Amino acid sequence: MNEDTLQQPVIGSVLRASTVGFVCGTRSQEIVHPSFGAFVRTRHGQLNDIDVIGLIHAISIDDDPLVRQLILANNIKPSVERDQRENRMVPVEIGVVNVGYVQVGHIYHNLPPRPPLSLDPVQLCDTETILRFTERLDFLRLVLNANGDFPTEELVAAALLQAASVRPPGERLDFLIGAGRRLTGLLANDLPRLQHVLQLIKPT
Amino acid sequence: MGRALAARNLTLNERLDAAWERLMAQDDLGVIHERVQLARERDVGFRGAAPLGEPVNAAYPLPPLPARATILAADGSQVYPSIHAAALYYLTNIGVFVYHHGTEDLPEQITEPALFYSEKDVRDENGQAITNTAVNARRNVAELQMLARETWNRRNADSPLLAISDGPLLFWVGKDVPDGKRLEQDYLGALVHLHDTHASAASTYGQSASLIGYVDRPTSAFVVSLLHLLGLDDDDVREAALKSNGDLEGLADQPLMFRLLKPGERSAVMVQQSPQNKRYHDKGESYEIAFFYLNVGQSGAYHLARVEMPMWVARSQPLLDQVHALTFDQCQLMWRYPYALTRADELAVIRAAERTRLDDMIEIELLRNEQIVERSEKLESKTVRHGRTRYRPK
Repeated sequence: MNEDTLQQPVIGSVLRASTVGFVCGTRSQEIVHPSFGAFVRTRHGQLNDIDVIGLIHAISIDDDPLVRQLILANNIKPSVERDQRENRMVPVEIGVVNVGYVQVGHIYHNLPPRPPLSLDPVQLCDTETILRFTERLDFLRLVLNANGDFPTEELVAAALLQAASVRPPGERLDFLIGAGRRLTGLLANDLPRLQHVLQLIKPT
Repeated sequence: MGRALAARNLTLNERLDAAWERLMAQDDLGVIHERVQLARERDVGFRGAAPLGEPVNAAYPLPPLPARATILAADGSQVYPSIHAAALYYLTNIGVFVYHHGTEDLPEQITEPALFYSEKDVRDENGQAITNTAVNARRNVAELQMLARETWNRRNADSPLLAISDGPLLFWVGKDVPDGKRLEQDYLGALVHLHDTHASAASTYGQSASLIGYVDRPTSAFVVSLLHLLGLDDDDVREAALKSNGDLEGLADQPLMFRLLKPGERSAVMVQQSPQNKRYHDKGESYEIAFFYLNVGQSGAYHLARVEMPMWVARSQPLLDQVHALTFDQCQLMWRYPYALTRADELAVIRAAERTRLDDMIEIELLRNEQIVERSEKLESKTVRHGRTRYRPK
């Protein structure tokens, strides 16, 4: 793990996990960093040698009776707002779909053989990891075939746009054209989906 | 059931009308005080309210809100001792929440858990496990002590201090509490500590410290009892006549106050007549407990609270106004319950999962110290019957 990876902000800790994805918990004031489609990686502890790479597909804030009551009262003062966001541990859940893993420095474009463990820290991927991981686009098939209740086309598009944005400006168009070709192969039997994804990643 | 309830409501409405008429006729405080004094002299067990110095048939409007104040609220929860557990112990957890009214400062959170397991803590003089009532009493005292300590620590604040305790301020214990006398003394000691804070803040910084006990949706009938007393002839002021509220029996103060008080308004300040309160009075005039009713609801959704306070607050118009305005404001943050108390309760609460974790930790420590962990068969069978899975250390 390089220096940039270590310095990436920790966005939360693994709450529950499987080999196809995991949910990471965080506190409500810490959700400024993660966004839909962002590449994240877990940081393994002593019991595991695998860092799982995934894409954020959902960010949700739990229902909370106290917040409901405050909304009902409709009299929220700044100190109450700070109290709710900074003092209270209202869990925010970040859903992640696994797209690959890092083991002993090697990147694999496949589902991890083991899930991350509870409380493993979760970080945003640094630029180098995103560049290395998206040199190959095998993860697109994993996402497009995922059975989760999330919009797969939008997730693929968001990930590809992020991967393009970390490349030098002169390489971005070529990267997106290459991704479009790959998608054409994967969605050859589903033209409406293909058209939709291509529209989403089309450079403006 | 519907017909029965409707019939009961009808009679209650008739009683309410009678009580209202009687309340509206009470224009003379002197007459009321004379009658209460007569009941006291005859020692007839009168447990109703006596007005302090304001007409009882009037509503008192919401005063202006202080620009700034420090509001502290305390609440507690507990794990009761169980003879079915691996070890006999109990746990209390006290939460204090500090809210800086009028600023954008981040509120403070303080929690103090305490685990009790020594023989002198968990058994009475006969070797029997202490009752839940005893744990409640000890927790109550710890709550007020912690509230007093945290208020004292902020006595140099440049704004008024308001300490909020959950529930009535009058504290007494039954005979099943082994250290009852000491607890009552400790509780009064905490009251004195809060009064000292007030004296210190007033003399050094020109500020104040108030204490209230907040009772949500009170079921008390102190005013109704007073109206019953006032409806008797002098000769009828006897114990037998005061065992019930006569023709007003069954009626609580709440519906009466809903007729009297609009949202934000409070009742007159009154003092409940009881041997417990007399003991507080005997400790010092500043410690007798007074109260007013406050409508903390909003238009169309009335909600009543009884706000109790020691006499050093009740006899000071500025403190009374602060308490009135700040309590109502706190309730408006949460619709109709003080925000600071809600958060203190949240800090204090011990959830079932936390209790299970604590039980596991205790079992681990017992095993580490080579103790045999004997679980009650009754408890184990419950676990099996209810299908509760427990992930235990191997």
